[in-house]
Amino acid sequence: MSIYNHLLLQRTLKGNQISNNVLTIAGPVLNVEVSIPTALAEKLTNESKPIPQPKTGWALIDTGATHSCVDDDVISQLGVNPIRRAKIHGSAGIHEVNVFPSHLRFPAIPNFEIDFAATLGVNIQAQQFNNQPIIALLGRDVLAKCVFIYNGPLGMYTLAF
Amino acid sequence: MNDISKNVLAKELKYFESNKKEWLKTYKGQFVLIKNQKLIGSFTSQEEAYRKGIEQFNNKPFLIKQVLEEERVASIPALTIGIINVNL
Repeated sequence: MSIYNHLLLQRTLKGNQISNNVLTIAGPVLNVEVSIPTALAEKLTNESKPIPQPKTGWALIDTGATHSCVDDDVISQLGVNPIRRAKIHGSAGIHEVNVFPSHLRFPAIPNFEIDFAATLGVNIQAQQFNNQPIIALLGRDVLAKCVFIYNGPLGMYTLAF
Repeated sequence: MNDISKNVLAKELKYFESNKKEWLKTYKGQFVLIKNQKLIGSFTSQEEAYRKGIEQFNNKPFLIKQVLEEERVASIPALTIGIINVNL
């Protein structure tokens, strides 16, 4: 089992310090690259067509979410077509969103890639952390394959898979 | 660029709904691949179905849907109540 520890340090005048503040405010975030699924990349390669560059930003681990989500602008720029619709609880009741296949890679965690994730296309990119947008939410569909430990007092989380 | 909110699979979804009752007898729990109101095949995983769809239809819209009696509703509370907001 691979184990990834992420300590979210507080920037101070004395340098970076351990604090529970950043994790409390930002939540458990990690860098993510969103790209097209491997099957589509292989098809484009065989046809000598360009493969869109991955989109980078933050993914927020969201234990409250049943499904993982990707920002709809990001997935649109990759040129991926939806594979179905999903019903989602919204503030105005249940509504439908498109479901997109995507490839998720986490540069800080070797060997942790999700080749084919059925992600809901939603608008989340308005949210920022350290001047980079949150472009994905990792829901319990991903966490179903991981051990996730939230260490509030230390301002750290652990992901094992 | 795609119109992200558009339902480009409306015809396929309608076809799925009209056949769902019948398919529950034979494809329950499987993922069906539908294009142009035609059942292309059934698969044990959506990855397999996607690979077949890409192979056959390139990057054109096609429907992949699990045959289930009741559709699950996704819950993303952070989006619903707008609590994702970070500015450090």
